[in-house]
Amino acid sequence: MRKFLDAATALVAFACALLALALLGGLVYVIVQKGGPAISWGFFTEQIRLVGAAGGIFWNLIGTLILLLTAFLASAPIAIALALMERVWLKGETSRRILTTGLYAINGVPSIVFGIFGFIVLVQWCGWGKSWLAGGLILAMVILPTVTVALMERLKAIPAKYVEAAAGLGLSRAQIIWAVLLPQSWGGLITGSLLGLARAAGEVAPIMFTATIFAGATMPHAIKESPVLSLPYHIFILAQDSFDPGVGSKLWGSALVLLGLVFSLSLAALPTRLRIHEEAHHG
Amino acid sequence: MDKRPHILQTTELCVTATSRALVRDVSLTIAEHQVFGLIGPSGAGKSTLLRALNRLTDLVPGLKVTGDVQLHGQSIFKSGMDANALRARVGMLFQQPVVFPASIVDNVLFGARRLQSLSKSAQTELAESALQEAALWSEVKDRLKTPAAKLSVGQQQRLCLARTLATKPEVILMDEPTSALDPRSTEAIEALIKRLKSRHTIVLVTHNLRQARNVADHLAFIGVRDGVGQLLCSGSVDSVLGRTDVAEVDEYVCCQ
Repeated sequence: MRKFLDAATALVAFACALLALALLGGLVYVIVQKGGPAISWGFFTEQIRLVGAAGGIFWNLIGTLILLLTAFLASAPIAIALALMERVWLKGETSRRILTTGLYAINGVPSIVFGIFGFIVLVQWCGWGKSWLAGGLILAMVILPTVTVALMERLKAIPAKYVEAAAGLGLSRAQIIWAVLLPQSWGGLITGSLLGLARAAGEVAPIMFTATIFAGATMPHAIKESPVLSLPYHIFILAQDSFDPGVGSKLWGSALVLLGLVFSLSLAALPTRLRIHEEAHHG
Repeated sequence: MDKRPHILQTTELCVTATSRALVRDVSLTIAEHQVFGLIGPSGAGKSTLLRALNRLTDLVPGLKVTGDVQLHGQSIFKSGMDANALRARVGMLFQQPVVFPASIVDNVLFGARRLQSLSKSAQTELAESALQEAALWSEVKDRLKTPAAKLSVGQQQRLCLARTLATKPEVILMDEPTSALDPRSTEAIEALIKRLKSRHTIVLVTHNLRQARNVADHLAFIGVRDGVGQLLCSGSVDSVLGRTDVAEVDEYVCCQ
């Protein structure tokens, strides 16, 4: 009986794992099969023509990259400050828990709520109109918890002996932060940011009211009324509005490029994640 | 009685953790340019006592230090005393060598270059003299830029000593500095300790009676009574190790 239970448990576990892999495989297969034919050099270098039925996604790709870079640059300093606060200044268990709970709460906020918040505060109240900066800042809020928690984990993994040794030499707290804590936690910042950005890259809700339009935008030159094109919004509009069969392959092609972007962001984070994991377990 | 001037003095020093006392009522006088050994069983609070001498105890949440420690007659706990500046004057060598993930030379200068502004040439000079003083120069002079982690554990411990020496401390606290080392490296460190006392004062926690006899000028025995670490006797090495009337000392000496 016990042997049977053992085998059954293993069987169910394997079946579930297989199902997850099959889902991923199926998804990738469908998107590659449908979007593959659209991929060409021109698809990356040309701009949209005929409402998405022709041309490429050059400015959509650039727009998405601008939004992601802005989100990274805006979230990194805040994440560093928050993580350092948790590690260095917050002494009590309660205040630490309040901070992490707050972060998890932000992480749980639906992205459409961020979008509306950005629309009300940045687009209307600040009078920016649709702007790459508004979208970048809202995406920064979306990824902030991921980046901060990854940094906190990294800071926690720095052995206390380094801090003690540095303090023993007479270094002040600020010097210890610059000389010991920050140099050893860049990996956490990069990993957290890449994982956060991998999620943010595909979000439509935070940027559809704040930053992105369907066609007609190129490189932004100002903050106010300076929208960008983006990949997820492009897919959203094509999927929703277009009945032109010529659009179909472009739609799938855009989805494939977005999927590729997200996978490469996650993959780029992998080496540091593995290394941190190893350090944490082997001293 | 030792005629040399006192550099460190503790008065009724107690260290208490949140739930219990770790060390109680330790009053010691430590004269300049000597090796002052702290011996006693594990768990008696020798390391804690040592960390109170340069306020590294501040770093541990929940530790409370009462009583007083005076450096050159000045309380290290008085308001206005900069704990960081104090730690540069009263340096520390730990049980396990702690090298930073950086090159050998960056490790030597890790504290010094941040505590004072040094020109490039002054840095090079300081690195060399500190490594010389720690008897490591000849072994590493051709590979100063290689990662410090590539050194053997014994070399790493001498590198940590060089790093402490580079900040020019008056006192060096050593917490069982050879317990992680092989016999040859232990010998090297012991020879160094004897040499260093001409310019520094050394407070050495050791488990090893042979080492205490070999390098210490003065000993204090910290034993456990009523569950708390206390100073049971102090004096010259022979007088302390000969105190068969103190049961804890007798037991400790016999067991080694």
